[in-house]
Amino acid sequence: MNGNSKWRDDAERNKQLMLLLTQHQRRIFSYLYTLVPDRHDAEDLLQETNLVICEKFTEFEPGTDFVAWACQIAWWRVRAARQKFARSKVVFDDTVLAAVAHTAVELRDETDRRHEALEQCLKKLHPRDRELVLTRYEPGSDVAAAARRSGRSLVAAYKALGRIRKLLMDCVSNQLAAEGAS
Amino acid sequence: MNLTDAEILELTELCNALADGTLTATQRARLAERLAASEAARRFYVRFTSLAASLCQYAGEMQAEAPDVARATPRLWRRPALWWSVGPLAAVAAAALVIFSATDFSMRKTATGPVELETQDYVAQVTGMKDCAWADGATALEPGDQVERGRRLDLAQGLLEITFDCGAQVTLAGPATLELNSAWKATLPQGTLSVVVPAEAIGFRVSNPQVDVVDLGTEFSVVARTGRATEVYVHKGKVQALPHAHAGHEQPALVLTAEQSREFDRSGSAEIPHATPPFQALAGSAPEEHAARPPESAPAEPAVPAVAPAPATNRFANALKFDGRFEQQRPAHHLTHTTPHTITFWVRIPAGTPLSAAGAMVAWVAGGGRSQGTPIHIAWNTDPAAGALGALRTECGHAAAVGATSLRDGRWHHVAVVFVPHGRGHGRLHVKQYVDGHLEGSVTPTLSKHPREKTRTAPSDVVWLGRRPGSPDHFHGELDELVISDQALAPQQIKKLRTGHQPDRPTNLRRRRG
Repeated sequence: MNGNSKWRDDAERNKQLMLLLTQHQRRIFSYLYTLVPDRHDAEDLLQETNLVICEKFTEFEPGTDFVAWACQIAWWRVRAARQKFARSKVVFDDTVLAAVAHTAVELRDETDRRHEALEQCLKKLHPRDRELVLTRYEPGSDVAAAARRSGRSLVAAYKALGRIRKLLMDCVSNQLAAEGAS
Repeated sequence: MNLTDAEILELTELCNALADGTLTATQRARLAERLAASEAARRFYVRFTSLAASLCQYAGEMQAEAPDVARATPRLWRRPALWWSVGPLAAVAAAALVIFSATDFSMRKTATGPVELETQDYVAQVTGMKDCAWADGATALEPGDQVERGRRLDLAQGLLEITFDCGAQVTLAGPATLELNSAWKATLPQGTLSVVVPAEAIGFRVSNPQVDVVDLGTEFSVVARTGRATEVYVHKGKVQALPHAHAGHEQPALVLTAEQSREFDRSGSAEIPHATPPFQALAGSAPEEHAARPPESAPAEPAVPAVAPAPATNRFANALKFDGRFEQQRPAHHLTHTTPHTITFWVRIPAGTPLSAAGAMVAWVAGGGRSQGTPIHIAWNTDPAAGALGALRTECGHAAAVGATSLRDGRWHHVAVVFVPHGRGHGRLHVKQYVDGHLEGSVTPTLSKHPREKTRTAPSDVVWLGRRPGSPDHFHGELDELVISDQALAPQQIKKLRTGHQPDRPTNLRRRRG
């Protein structure tokens, strides 16, 4: 292989890598968040996972399931980082973690559909509720910040967020059920 | 099997507490129990956490789409969404690769021209905060802020994490007062702090009226109370404790090892009986976990060593080779001296390379919004009066930072140079260098206010590799994995880039919650 064709192959491979990574970041993040339900921890792990994906991309077989392959790498990043997260408030032992990971993989397609349905359900929320929940999940925000910006007390914000999440869960489930029936 | 209404109610309550960060230990145990026992519970949990993950995405998109909306100051540090793209691309770079994230530089004020040396500089960065309140009511530090040498921090309450430029990570628990003496030293007049010191920062010192504690590669805590003995607890590794002399009585230095604790006062020192270290729940590495069976489809992955291995010999097989004639220019928008950024790369310089072959490895002209620019050259030192021959040398106009490690030894070295506008971009630039993760030199040039001293060099949108613009001198050696980030990276982040996929050393604070 001469230098020019190698360069083209590398460039094509990198292009394909970036395309797949960009396309599936949300899915990989969602998988990680299920295992490590803290936004910042999950984002850290996402970065580490992205690094390994880049390093091992030559091992990925084109045409196979990229998300499944990436989630396997993500799983190992979580395992490797267990010490790091062992003292955080939420940590499951390895047995529970493995079981949850298995379920997350099983529900991958459903999770995609739920994500799309959520967009519609968010539109159905009362604007004040929508602002509260989106403020809560903004990068760098937390419940206290969302409470301040919405003019609620902290206790009221916790209650409202619990209520809104339940509304959204029910709405998404109903929407999926309706789609399945149609 | 479906969940009963009571089970759904319970899981909803537990998952809400999880999402809000209010989960108690009892609730956590209960949630784990439910997840272990029931597939239906696991499905509920996965749907709930996936909802939260989706909300993170939608909220992030909303934030990105509405830049003009006034927002509360983020209390907790977060990495910019685009940051991740820098590392991975560096990892796959076949040769030098320059990546920038999209940042709006248009609103920054600037001055341009040549530079002169300024003694005031930054020595640390705020890397985490939780519920911080300040005793003086005027301090307005935020995560990501740089902290100057000599700054005194009076924390009334909360947790503050500061990463010193040497890499030492200090967590201060309010109420406490901390003075930042240098990148390698802090004084704790009163309060409690915990320190995690990576190998690169061995020698970091915490001083106190009663005792100096010098790290020998460890994690330790210090508790200082006015009018009472100062307590030192070692969680891992060892420290050297140097009690201060009182009334002419010298006290011997002590070496404290893991799980030892000692208190120091004017009369001497003594062991602390039944010591309960502060930060007990936070400091120290996590207990060993038993290995568990991975999901059936997961590929095998070798155990990750605690310390990054030496770069594999084939890692740099595609490095750019500079033979004294070759040079490269790459597009590099927004490399200004009014915005923070970090340049990292690997370099190998043959042993015995002549001084005449010391052209710039990386060079550019940093613009600042006007037509004139500040030339910046990253090279190796050829001036014995300035420092070791072959050491990393970053020239910023007329000022230069010079390192200590000779790069001219035929080995691969990781170089990082961090540029931080001083005073939020109003005329000064703090430059600090890292070689193989070690802090090696810094300088804080001030941009001249005299128009006559302006250089004739125009800023450009190009970064030069292997030669600086306008110079006939070329660089001899190899470069690889060049990364340009629009962030002033902290030592841990630089380490992460250096070690590729290696995980962070276990940290003991979980305060970044979103």
